[in-house]
Amino acid sequence: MGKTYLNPHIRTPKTTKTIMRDVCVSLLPAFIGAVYFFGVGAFFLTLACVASCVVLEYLWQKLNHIPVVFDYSAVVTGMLLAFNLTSNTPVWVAVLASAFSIIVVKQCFGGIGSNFANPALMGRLFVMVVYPAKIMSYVTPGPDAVSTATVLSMAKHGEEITYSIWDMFMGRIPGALGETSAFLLLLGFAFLVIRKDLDWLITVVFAAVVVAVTSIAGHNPLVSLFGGGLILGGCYMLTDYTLSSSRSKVLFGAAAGIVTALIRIFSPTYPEGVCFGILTVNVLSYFIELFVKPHIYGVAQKKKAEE
Amino acid sequence: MKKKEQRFPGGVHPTDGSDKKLSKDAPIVSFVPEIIELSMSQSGGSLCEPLVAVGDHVERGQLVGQPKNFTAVRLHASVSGTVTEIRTETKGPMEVPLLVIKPDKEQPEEQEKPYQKEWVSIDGYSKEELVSIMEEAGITGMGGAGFPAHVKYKTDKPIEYILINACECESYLTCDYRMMLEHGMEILNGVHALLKAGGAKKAVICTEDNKQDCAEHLRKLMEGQKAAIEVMVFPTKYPQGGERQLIQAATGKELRAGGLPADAGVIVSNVQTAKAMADAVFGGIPCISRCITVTGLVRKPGNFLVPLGTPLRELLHKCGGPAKLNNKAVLGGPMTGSCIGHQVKCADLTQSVTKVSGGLLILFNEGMEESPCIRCGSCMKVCPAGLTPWKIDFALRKGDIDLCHKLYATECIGCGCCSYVCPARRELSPNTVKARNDVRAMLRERGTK
Repeated sequence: MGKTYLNPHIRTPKTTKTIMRDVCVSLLPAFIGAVYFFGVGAFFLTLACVASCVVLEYLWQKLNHIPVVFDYSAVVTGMLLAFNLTSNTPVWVAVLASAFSIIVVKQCFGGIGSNFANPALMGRLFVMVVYPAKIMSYVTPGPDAVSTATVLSMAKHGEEITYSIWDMFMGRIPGALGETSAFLLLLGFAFLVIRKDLDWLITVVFAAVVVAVTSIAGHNPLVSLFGGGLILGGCYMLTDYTLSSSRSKVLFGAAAGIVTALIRIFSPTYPEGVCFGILTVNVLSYFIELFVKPHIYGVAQKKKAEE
Repeated sequence: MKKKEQRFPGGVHPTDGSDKKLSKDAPIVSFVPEIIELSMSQSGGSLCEPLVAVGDHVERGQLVGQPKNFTAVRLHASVSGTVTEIRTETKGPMEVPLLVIKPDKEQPEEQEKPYQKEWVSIDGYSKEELVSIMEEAGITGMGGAGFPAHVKYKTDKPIEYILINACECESYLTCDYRMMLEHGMEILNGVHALLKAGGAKKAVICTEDNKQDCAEHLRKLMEGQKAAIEVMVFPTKYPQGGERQLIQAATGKELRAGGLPADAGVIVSNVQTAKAMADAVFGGIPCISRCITVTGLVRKPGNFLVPLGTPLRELLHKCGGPAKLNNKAVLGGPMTGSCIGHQVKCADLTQSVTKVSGGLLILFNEGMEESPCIRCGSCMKVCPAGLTPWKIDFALRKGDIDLCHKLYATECIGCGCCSYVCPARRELSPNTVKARNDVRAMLRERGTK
């Protein structure tokens, strides 16, 4: 008898593949929004990221003689990575970042489920470190892209914010491709929550903590919420399955939120902070999980009986 | 005892209920099969010694098997007939004798007895008498585990509650449901007898809210009676009928790890065990039949009250055979049952009905392959014991039994919820069960148990 004949004999219809496909679908509104706001270049940049992620993963698996699995997870990584780049990023930088995400961060550590940090975020970090000029020069939405400051950096440097909250919510602000439209991202997030693919608790705690802590420092809460990458990071990167399975979801979200908020308040160079907040809890997730002891049936009773 | 609020953690909702609808409304059918193949191992790991030889004529209810190990109970001939053959079958690691009995044309007539229609007084029996009737009649737990009932009831610990497990939380199965509707009075009389046999204060019939009509039916039958029997309805969730989970939901108590229900003053028995008890005490009939559901991808799903030893192939044939060739046959429920063949036709099934077989399912044989764990933590969320199956799975694959022990693999109840929800289709449940057994073996070796 083969492996498939072990009990239970009925299984949930959800598989890794269907979950990842759902995530891709949920990212589509934001993708369409990115093309609408930043022009056709956004389309090609995303395409380049997705294609290089999928192809590089396939090649890696083929060359290393490990089973080739196509489960849409590379597509998700590609899309999220593209969403983290600015629309004027050269394609070759995007491809290099994809290679770093998929090969170094994901496959070298054992593939899906074994990565120590979110591959797309590590890709963003890679671009930030290696080509700082590229990712830091945000452009205004629209065809006549002009280099400009993001809403958060305007706020940071005490400049007057020239965008309304409505613009921020809908996405008509400078920023990375996919992070600007809170509305479209939340639309996709709602889809995932309704499909029960994601737990919203982490996201809500994270956003609440960031907004609360930055408000104490005098930031406008709505600008904190919609002005940067908070929604993209909180909804899609912080909830990375591999790194958010901890029992301590509240603690996990709160820790990410505090790091993000502190960077937003105190860092002289980075007005954003979401990336670092998430990566910090990613690498600390093992320790965060130690804080909450699972309740195992009957163990407490046994200890009591032994005493 | 509070009602409804108390639940157990974890668990899954495997289906929407359409699976049970297949056989829910099929009345129980009884028949005497053409041949009886009575296995000497009526429940997992038990073994009986045959007391008859080839050519002997046996009467229905005659003792034909003497228990040979601790988990076995006495076995009786389920029909009147002639023993034509004694062969051995392989069941797991054991070689088990199998009696082939050719039933007589004329079977003893079934007479309607008072206990099937009305309340019967239990006053004439003492606790000890009832327990010895239980042992004589070869009553074993009929829920699936098949632990000898008299051993449970012989306990000298003070018993507060008898919980009658009528949850039937496994999807597809409807035999307990039909039994309650059609043999409610017998079951209630049996529960009454069990209540006295256990020396308990109260018996609680526990069922799920997808069987509201059963609960109403039983309550109606109990109207005007003073017996300390209550019907409790719990939310439908698998594994509501798991022994530890049922105790947790009904009494709010958690058993000590490795403890028995009796430690918490509880005995859990299946609803069909109660029926068998009534047959034994009031009808003088030992445990020689049970109700089994045959369903899934069969043409006519149904519920059958048949003699033990009825070949599964004959049951499947009665149901019109498998409706799909790409199938797998499962004995028991879909979550905990065992696969007894794939791409089966009627004739391929070699086993027969035992005291613990609750269902024969023909399910679609979907190809499943394990993929890497994505650490989504779903298994951890649904585990009713609070374990982290994926970690235990990794530890077992590394051969680190010590780590399995530290992760409390010993507390696995083998319900299958973790495998059910796993999006990577990993065999978490069988592996955790294996880890549990390995840890127990390791502890036994060290002599610390």
